[in-house]
Amino acid sequence: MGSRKNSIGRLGIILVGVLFTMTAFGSPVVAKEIKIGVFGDVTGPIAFTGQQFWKGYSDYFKWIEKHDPIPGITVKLLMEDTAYDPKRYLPVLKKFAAKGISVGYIMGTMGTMTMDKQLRKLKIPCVSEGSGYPRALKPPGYIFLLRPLYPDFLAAACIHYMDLWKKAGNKEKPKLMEITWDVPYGRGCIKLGEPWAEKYGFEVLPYQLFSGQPNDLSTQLLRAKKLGADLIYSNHLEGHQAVLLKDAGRLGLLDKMQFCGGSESRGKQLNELAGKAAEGAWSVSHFVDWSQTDNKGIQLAMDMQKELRGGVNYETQYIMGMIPAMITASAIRYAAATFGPENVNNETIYKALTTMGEINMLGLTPNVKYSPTERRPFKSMNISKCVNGEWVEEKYDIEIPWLKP
Amino acid sequence: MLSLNNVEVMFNKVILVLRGVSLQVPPNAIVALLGANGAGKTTTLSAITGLIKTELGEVTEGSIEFEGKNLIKMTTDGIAQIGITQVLEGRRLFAQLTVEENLRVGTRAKRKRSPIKKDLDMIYGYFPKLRTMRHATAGYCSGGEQQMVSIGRAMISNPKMMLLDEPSMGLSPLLVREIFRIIETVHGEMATSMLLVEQNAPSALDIADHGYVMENGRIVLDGTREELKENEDVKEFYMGLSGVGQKKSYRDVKHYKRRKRWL
Amino acid sequence: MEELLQAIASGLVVGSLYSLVGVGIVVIYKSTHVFNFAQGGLLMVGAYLAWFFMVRLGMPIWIGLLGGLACAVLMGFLIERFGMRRLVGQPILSLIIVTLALEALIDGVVTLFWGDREYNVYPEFIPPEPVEFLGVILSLQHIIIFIITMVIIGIFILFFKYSKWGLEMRAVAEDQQAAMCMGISTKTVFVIAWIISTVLAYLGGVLLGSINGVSTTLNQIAGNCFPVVLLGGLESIPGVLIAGLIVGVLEYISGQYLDPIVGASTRAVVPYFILILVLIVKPYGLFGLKRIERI
Repeated sequence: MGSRKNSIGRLGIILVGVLFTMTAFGSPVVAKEIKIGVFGDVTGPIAFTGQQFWKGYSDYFKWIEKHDPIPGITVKLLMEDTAYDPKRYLPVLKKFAAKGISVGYIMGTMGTMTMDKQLRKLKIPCVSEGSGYPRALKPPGYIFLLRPLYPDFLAAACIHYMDLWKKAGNKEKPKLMEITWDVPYGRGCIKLGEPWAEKYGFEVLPYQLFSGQPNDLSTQLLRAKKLGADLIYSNHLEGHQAVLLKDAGRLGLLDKMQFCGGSESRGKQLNELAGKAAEGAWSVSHFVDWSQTDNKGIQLAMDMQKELRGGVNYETQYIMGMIPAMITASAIRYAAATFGPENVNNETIYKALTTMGEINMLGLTPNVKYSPTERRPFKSMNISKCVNGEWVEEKYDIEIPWLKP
Repeated sequence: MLSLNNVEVMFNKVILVLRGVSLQVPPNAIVALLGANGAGKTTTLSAITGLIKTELGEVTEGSIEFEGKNLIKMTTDGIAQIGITQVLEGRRLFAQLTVEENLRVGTRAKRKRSPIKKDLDMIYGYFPKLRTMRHATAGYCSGGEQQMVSIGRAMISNPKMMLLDEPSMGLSPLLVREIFRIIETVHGEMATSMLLVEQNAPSALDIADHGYVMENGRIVLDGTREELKENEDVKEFYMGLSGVGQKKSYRDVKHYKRRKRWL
Repeated sequence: MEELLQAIASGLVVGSLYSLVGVGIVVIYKSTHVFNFAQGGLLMVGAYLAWFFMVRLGMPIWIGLLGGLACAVLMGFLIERFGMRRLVGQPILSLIIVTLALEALIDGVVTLFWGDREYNVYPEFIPPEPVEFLGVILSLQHIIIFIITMVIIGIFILFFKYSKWGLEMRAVAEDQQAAMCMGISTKTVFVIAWIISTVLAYLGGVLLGSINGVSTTLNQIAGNCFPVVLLGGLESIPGVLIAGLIVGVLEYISGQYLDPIVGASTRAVVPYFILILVLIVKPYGLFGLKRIERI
């Protein structure tokens, strides 16, 4: 009887002793966990593009965790499928907010459009590929664009085209026509871009839209031919561009018109689908081509793929996914260094983005610089051209007007 | 020989429709199955051909055998293939098909190979009218023509046994006589045994050798043609005759002089 | 004028593909009264299977195509045997829901296995040379596809009208019980109907995929085919053939002349619009079989 009580008493004292020792020496240092919410459009109309974005984005974080971790911070990526469906973004945002994300990555204009208001409320900064929603910049909110607005893409194409047009000695106005996908992203250049093009000296023909996945764009092309279009600009994906170029080839229009697309309308698949018809096509983008092998950023991309995926897959959108990852990682790094790792959260990352100055992009894009009043990253664009099935430089670093939203 | 022994049929596992039906159709005979509406005559035929399975029905007791084969286990198309065809109640032609196409469908159940033209000619021999309208859409034909097609469709495969479900339904008396004459001829020439379900008792008993009377899912009377024709109850309730062959007046209908129920 | 001819020509090509897919739906509906919502998915799977044999496994073109065909036949058999047959006697709505589920399943599975690339391309077996006549420029590919689809549909029309199997399938479509009494095995008829449907879907998928690559958006064409089928009358194969061509041509004509007025793409809406107009006048569709009732 008595001995049992004694053993319990002894056990209790030992337990207290252990606990005391533990607390006295302090718990081991735990790094601050930062959660990033990725609004992944990995199924749905931009599924393939979204999947490549995700690959590039997540690979970059895996890479720096191994080779260059952010001191005092561990990064956790949360990804949910939003399927480019306007109904899904807000519920996913709610979920992420409940889980305590500090920063996010939006893959398209649809996400930007639907979440802008709520992000301002929740004060969660997001970097976004979606440049088709100028209202996100009026006034500057919590969405940081990864590239200029789409109208600026159109402007870049117009500037370069006009340059060549004048050099060739033409006196009349060149004619611009947009043939593009009927979604907010596809229509992104029209409202601001076309009036600007008109002021710049183009005759702007009425734009033409098509919905879904077209099999045949000859109606639109014949109309373009009838009206005498010179420059055809499109803001859509490789699949759409392939149909457009192939039909143009069939109708014999490839040497009569210059076809130009945005960043998503070039890649291996375009060449495979359109074959010879892709020769000479332009693509405006904010980053450099895979063919620039002495570019540090491209080299990083190749190293990343070799290490994490066992080989290099030359998808354009992979690079596009790296860019937001680099920006986000730099911002977190800056916030940790400036405010201390334990203070890194959505507010400090926002401050970091708006005050850290130029972010080194290793040459993939011009260096990114935001400010308290500016959410666009840089002021120049590149145009690439398809030559012999490869995308090479046509003209880099075209300064764009930064059309006012 | 078709024999049903104590067959019970239940629908949806709760509704008992046939309560122990036993009957036989000897080879080369015409057997009549009489009874009022709802007695279970069509269900009996459906049980024989297995159609009840498509209506959530099943044979829960008893046996149905034809030439030694157990029909309960067989599929409807299998039963047709061994030589039992049916002329369905209400004709049930393939309305969008032509008359000739309807007949052609019946050739699937043939047991001997022969050129289809020969079979068609045989049917047109029995029903000359059909030859003139062979390309007409079956659904638009008159009742009598449809009945001819229906019988022809069941006959064309030279079956061992035919089940006829109310062939006289909806036909004028003249046509009824015609149809029954043809049925008798066919029976004679093709040596097909027949189970004839009818409400038109006089016409049926004129050609049948043997007859059964059904009521409420049971066989309540069975006998030869003569026996049935002489049976007072049959005469009263199915022939509309009472006593010595006089017609009944309405007044008398309500006042039954004979007991009304068998059991 | 040249534009109108071009619109008609392009429209006929697209329309012939609509007809091909539509015939598959009609065959199933005629025999079993099930509206097959999975026809688009079957088309997509067919296209991917052919690609898989030809490109991933590297087989010669003809063997690859035949391999895909064999798979299509097998799929039709499996769908009927394990999907539809188990539901015999259930309300027809249940079977229709099964086809909806099948469509979703196919969509997911195809993306799972082959969604890693957005587009896959066949080795070229129909050359896309441009061909010009009457001022209209079509690709040889388009013309060959049009001819092939017309021939295939023609074969099926003849099959249903004149062959014994075709006759029996029509009989089963009319009255299953009566057909059974005639010795026709409805099970066999259903299996054949489903196999015909999957084979038609397969052919449609291969032809469609050869125009613009095989992608996971191929099943969207079925969305245009549903109004086509209803327009033609759910039970008439010649009906769906003509309806498909009409819808295709009208889509392109409206694209040519209405789009500039409206300022947006009217293509997606046109089939439904035509459908509403026609159904007001002819509720059973252009060639639908009216119910023959006698009093």
